[in-house]
Amino acid sequence: MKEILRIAVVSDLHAYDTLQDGEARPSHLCTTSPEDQPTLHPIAGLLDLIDKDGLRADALLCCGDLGDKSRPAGIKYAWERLHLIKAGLKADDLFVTSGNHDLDSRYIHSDDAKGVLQSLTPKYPLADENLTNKYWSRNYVVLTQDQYRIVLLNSSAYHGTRNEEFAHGRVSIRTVEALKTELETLEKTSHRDLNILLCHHHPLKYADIGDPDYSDMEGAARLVDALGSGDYGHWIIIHGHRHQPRVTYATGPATAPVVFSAGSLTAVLYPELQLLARNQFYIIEFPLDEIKTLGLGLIGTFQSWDWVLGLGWRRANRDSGLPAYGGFGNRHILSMLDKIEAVINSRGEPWTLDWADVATEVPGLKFLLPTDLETLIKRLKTDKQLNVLRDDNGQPAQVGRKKS
Amino acid sequence: MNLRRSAPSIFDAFNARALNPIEVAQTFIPPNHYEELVKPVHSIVIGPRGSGKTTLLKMLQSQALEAWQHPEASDYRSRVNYSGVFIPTDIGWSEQLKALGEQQLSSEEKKLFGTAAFTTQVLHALVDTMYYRVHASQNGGLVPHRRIQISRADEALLVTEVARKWYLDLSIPTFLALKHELTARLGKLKELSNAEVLRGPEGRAERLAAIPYLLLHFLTSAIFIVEKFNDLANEPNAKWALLFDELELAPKLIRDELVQALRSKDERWLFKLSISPYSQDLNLLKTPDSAMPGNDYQPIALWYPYKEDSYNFCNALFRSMVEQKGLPPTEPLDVFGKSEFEASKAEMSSAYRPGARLQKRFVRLAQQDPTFREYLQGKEVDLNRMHLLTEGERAALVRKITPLVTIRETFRRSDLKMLSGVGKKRGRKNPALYRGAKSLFAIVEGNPRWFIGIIGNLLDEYARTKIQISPSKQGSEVSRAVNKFRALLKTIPSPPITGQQKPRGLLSIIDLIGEYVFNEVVRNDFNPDAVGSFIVDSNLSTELTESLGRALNAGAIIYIPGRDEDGQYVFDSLKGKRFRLSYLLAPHFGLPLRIFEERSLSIFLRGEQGPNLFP
Repeated sequence: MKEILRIAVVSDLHAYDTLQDGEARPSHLCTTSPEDQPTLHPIAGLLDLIDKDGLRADALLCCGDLGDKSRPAGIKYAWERLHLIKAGLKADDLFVTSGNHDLDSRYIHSDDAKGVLQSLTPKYPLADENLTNKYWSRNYVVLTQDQYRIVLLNSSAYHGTRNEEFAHGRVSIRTVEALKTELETLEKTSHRDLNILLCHHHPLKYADIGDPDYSDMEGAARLVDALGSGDYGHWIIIHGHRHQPRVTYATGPATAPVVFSAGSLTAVLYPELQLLARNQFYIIEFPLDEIKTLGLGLIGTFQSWDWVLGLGWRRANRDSGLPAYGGFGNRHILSMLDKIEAVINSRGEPWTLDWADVATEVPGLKFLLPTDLETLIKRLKTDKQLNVLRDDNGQPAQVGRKKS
Repeated sequence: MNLRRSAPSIFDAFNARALNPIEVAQTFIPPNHYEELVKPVHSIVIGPRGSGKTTLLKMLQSQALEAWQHPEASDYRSRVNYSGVFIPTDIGWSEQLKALGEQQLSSEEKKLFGTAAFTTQVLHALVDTMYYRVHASQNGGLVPHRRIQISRADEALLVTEVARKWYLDLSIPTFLALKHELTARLGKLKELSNAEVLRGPEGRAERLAAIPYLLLHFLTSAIFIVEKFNDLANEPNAKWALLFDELELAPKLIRDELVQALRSKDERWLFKLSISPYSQDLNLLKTPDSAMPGNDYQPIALWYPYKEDSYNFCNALFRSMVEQKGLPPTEPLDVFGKSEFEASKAEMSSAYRPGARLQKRFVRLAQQDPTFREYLQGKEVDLNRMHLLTEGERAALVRKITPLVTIRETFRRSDLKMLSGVGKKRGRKNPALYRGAKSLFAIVEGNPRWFIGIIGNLLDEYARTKIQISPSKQGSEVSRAVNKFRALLKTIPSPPITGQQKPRGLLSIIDLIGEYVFNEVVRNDFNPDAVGSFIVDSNLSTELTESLGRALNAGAIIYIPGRDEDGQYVFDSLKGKRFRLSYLLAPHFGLPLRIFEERSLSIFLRGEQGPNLFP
């Protein structure tokens, strides 16, 4: 049995081949760009990073929007590149879901909105014909793996059916109910600890940074309630679409799902987003043993890398969207305060410690959300007179007391 | 001001400035200069843009040495028995501070802020190095270099004492906190100089004098922590190398400080500086009490006046690139083929056999060029018996002139029109002539950035196709680089040359030189000792001499030291020195890749050609 399950996440590639007159470049991924410069081509760069740093994952997840505005060449190109990334990571599986840009909902290229996706090779989204048919007919498919369960949800399922539907995602009552029924019939005792739902649209609205947020998934409240009910185990929802990375908890009880919003791998970011986010790549780690022993529910850590044109992929920093390292699942910030203080006190003079040593003795620490970690750092200072120093990535490096 | 000193560079994407030590180490191939540089003496690394100065200095840091995987890495790790402290010249601290008080602060006050920022930067880099030695993570495939263990209590005592001496207030007593406070001080200095501009000069002297940290000197402050650190590490005599990069960008007062420091006799310090070869106001190197090359410091020149000297390094770079691209062991000859300018070792005499490729060139030239026939007659060379000459005879009579014959034969043939005076000054369109491993190696001048930009690109092509790269593909890659380089030279200011229409910067003078040499080697009578290099003479204007200095820093011209030069490679004036055009420019003008005789540049510029030796 593995001790750690690793999931690599990419999202919103928006590949394109040609541009209309006056059309702005949608992404850094043009099908005709040379692919031999890892510092200039984001996919070449990613493969280089994976190779140089020896990155590995059990599965590669993509939250949709392979091409931009359903360009067939862009979708095909991105689909092929995803397989290269999967091979680079030595991953067993590639799981994808469909984004609004993957369906030709405005009939620009043909009369068949799903046509390009359905004609891809290898088969999309899954190699298995029956499962692929289920995905297209029921808008979701449940896959039970050795150590986790994953649901691919098509939140763009109604694109190409009526006007303005393409402006947002949707999950219907029928889909949620069918999913609930299927999860109930699956063996209830297995896979309670680690369940992933992959979709394109965000199930939770964002606080506005420009126009009001209307593009979320209609009907998602019902989905979130169902997954968070505790009846079907613990869940993490991984989605894309917003290009605005964040990790948070859904509303609901203590078992409400973790919601991991992946930033875009390669899209040119809207001006209002550029100060808040970068193009990012992620590896999420689920510590299977600690999920069992710590009793915190679904916990995990993640690493993020930023795309910097001219330099390649770099560890993210504090202003990138998601930081270089982070966690989720530990919802008990305040109990950490006393524990950290106790560790420092037990070591005595000179009252300084590396954060890594503290994290070893306070095992829940690394599973705090990045935002909760910031709160913790503030409270350590105000409540415990403990100062935290950061490293070059903005991560806590040392903690201690000022020398009197 | 600084922009003027810093020459631009092509393939700047490969600049090591933005790379961290681990990234630098991942691709580092040691040139001979590295061996010189690691010696525990003061050194000045001198080279044009892209010659690898930053990379060399960065490779003296423990962090880089630890991550370096190379057959010679462990040997070098043991040889670097000191701690390298890399200090980038941050245009930030010098330029911003200068700009801030441009009008309002007096030069003394600017000096005060500039020096304080510099001191802070040096101490920051020093503390960062100490932090790494004590706290760096042990994993990640690193081979430890000069790591030490210091207890938390000892660390706390040391930094508390140092913080007091440096007027810093630490949030926790660790090296990391010390480092953070120094970062904060840099910001504080900026705020302070801003505030002083607003407050006005009244009472300023008293206000500034009351801020004690403004007066800290970088070396006295640094030795304070070094002494304590060495004691704790139980290495009382351990050395620390301060590595100052891109000195040409630093304000003059700091350069003066550092050049002065080269005379330091304190055994604990090593100074290793990098600088461009031409630096107008570095006259300090010339005063009687200034540091002497070879005596106070070791000068390390990162260019190769003679192309053969760069071949070892080029071969090593080539092998490492082949490996990086996952190719099986491959020779440069496999990828690029033979050079048109010389016989390979394997060929030797056979290339000169009747009907062989070089012999045919000789015959063709003899047919169309009467002055060449006369030369051959004078030397009693029989073109059908060249392969029968002894090796010594062939070297003196035949091999020596082969590059010249190749060029002449190619361009007299294609440039018949030009010989008749029609269609002057256009690029010679035969870049494929410069194909082949040896020619490409000569063209990149041992400049790592050019090597990666040109040869790296071609190797990618080879990795895809696995067949020898065609001459035309090699030629077009070279042309691309030449065009980039020429576009860049256009941006370097230079005084106008007579009759010039559009401003073309340095390119005007480079073109004059190139055309002159082309006339000498191709259009004029055959002369094995044609003129191909120039001396910067005193008839040239100061402005022109200065722009030649910038050409030197950009790598457009290459310094050829004389036999009895004193090892002085940093110039405040180029007068009296000998140079050649960079071989990267040779394909544009149609020049051979070899050094020829010299002549004063003012004669070039007047357009006077040399006497006809074979009328």
